[in-house]
Amino acid sequence: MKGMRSIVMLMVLAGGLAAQDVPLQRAEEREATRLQSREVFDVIRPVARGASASTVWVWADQRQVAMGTVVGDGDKVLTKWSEIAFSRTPVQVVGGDRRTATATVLGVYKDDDVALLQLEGARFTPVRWSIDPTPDLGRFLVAANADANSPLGIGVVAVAERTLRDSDQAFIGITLDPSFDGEGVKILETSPDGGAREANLRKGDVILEVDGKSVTSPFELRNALLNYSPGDEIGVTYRRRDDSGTARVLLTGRPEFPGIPEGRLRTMRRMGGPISLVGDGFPMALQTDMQLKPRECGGPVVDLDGEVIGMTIARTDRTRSFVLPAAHLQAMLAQEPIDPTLAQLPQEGGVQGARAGAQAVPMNPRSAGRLRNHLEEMSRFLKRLDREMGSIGE
Amino acid sequence: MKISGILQGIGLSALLMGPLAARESVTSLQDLAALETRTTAVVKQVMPATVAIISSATGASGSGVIVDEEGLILTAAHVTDGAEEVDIVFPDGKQTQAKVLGSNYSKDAGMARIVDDGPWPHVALGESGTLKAGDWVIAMGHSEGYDPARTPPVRFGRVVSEGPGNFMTTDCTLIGGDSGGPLFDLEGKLVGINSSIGETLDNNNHAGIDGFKEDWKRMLAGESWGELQLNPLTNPERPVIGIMMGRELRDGGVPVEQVTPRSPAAKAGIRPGDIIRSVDGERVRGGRSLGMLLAKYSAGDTVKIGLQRGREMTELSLELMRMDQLAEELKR
Repeated sequence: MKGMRSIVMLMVLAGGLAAQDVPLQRAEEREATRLQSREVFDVIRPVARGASASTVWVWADQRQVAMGTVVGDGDKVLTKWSEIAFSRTPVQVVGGDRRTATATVLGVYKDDDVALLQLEGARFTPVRWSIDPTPDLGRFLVAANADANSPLGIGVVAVAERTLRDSDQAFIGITLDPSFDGEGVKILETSPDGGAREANLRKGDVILEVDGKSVTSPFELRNALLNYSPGDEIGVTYRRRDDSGTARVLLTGRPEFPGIPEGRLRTMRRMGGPISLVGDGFPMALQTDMQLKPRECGGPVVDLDGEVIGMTIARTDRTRSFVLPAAHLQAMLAQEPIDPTLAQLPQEGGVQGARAGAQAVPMNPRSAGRLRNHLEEMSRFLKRLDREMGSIGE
Repeated sequence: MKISGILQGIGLSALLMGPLAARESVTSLQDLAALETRTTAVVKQVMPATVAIISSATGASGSGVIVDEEGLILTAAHVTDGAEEVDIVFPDGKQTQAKVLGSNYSKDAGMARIVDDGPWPHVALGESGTLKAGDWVIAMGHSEGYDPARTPPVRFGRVVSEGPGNFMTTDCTLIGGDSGGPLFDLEGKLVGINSSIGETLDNNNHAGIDGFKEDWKRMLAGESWGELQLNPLTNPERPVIGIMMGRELRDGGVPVEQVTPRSPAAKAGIRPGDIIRSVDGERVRGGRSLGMLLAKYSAGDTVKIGLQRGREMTELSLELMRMDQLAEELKR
């Protein structure tokens, strides 16, 4: 599985040519696409109008940093936690009608990077979540704006909802022999703390079935494991020389690797605009190709019927934005959020353990400011480093 | 699709609306819903044939698409580069092997064939030459490599620019791993293969399917040739008229210094001393601009070159020729 981490890089156009948006685009082509964008924009405007009443702008440190989705009796708002966690001033919430409320953080759903705000000074219309199943692949999505006349973006469902949390992915603790040709998959080695070794599976054993379902390739084994969570036990049928046997194997979470940044991929992820500080690792999210800015995340998303199917949570990179599905948000809201003082900011890219999590609050405003500046500087530095590494690679 | 920056365009586009109406306009919610219905149908139809290509030789992972029952795969030349055999992974995790066939690096076009007997899920070929800015398209690919936890992501967008040559640009955002993945029209026909990206979100380049068709037999026979060259002004297959350019004039005119014998320019009667002013009515603004204008076309296309000869303005039609073929011709 090691080889899977290296990706054939799309070639990146060299400096001079990339300076213009699309270097060979003729004026008439530019006009044709611009006109078309305008047409689409006119069509989606009424689609998102209903949801815009439940959409607010979230301000922190005198800047609009995120969108918010109005819930509860209209006195609570969901927004993106990582965008307000560092705020040195009280968070403000502004509606499309310019009414303003002051917000306090009631609690945080850390894994989802969602903060629940309590408003004071204004109430808005609470969102009505869609009760339909999450839209299929290729269905169109529109992100609502607080300003009813300018929805934030349109995109399609790129990938069905799934967990992005490593801890939800179950591991059996073996590596496989890629050269093995026969029926089943052959164990090349067992990892020291993995469930397979505990269950006395050994190098050379050939796994034939998982819970009665046959597995014929490494990928089929991985797919079979996707249906389980760490802590589940599975029945494994295997062949050892001429014997066959069964074992109960306890599945574990993904083993932790040191986070090695893949230089050019990271550069590509950032090509085309800024990305969210927290963009991955969500327990349940739908992927879309919708092009948003980080500060445009946190508001409702509707389908073409105007039904609110979820809330945008991240601009993850050049190709991906994520949406938390309506059903998931409702289940989340049924749980108690954690106290904001206990909510450490998740790591960028969902990589755990690579850097110590930043303690958000309490912290004195000056050191918070320094930390923020330091992080920004660091990310600029990393970006430059990526670029330079990238150009060496070319 | 990007909708920012729309408002600035309103004044201009209102003036130009007539002749420039987008190819397939979306003027009502019904139009948009119809696009959505076609998109969901195409995605369902083409998903099983959109494969990941993994080379154990290079340890790298890209994408490809199956185009016939026997498992012929089209991909980008730079994906299979350096490999003789590759692993193929289907979106459902099924795995098989393919033998790498030929490539034309100048078009970033590559082929491979699945070793095991079919029938394999496959898609139909469309046409890329007819695509114009504003035509809706769907890009797929195993972004950032094969991921068993998801199907290859769907990207919806439109053609934003034709060319250079056989290539085209769309606003379907691509990233590493998408290389070699398919671009479809809304009928689900294959019109391109993902190739490269530029800095902006609407700069995603695909090799047009028509270029694959031109080189089909040679690639199928395992022949590899050409040069991987992203700069359209140095691509060996770029279309040329066959002149040596003089120093560009202040007003953007490009003087002809020499005319290459047996070239399109020679056949059309262009002479040294002529000043090139336009290509198909589009004004030339210096040597680089002339190169870029020509790069939009393919060899075999007929263009009108606007010339100034002394005080006379004239327009000559000529058929563009591939640079490498002109060079061959001269060796005879």
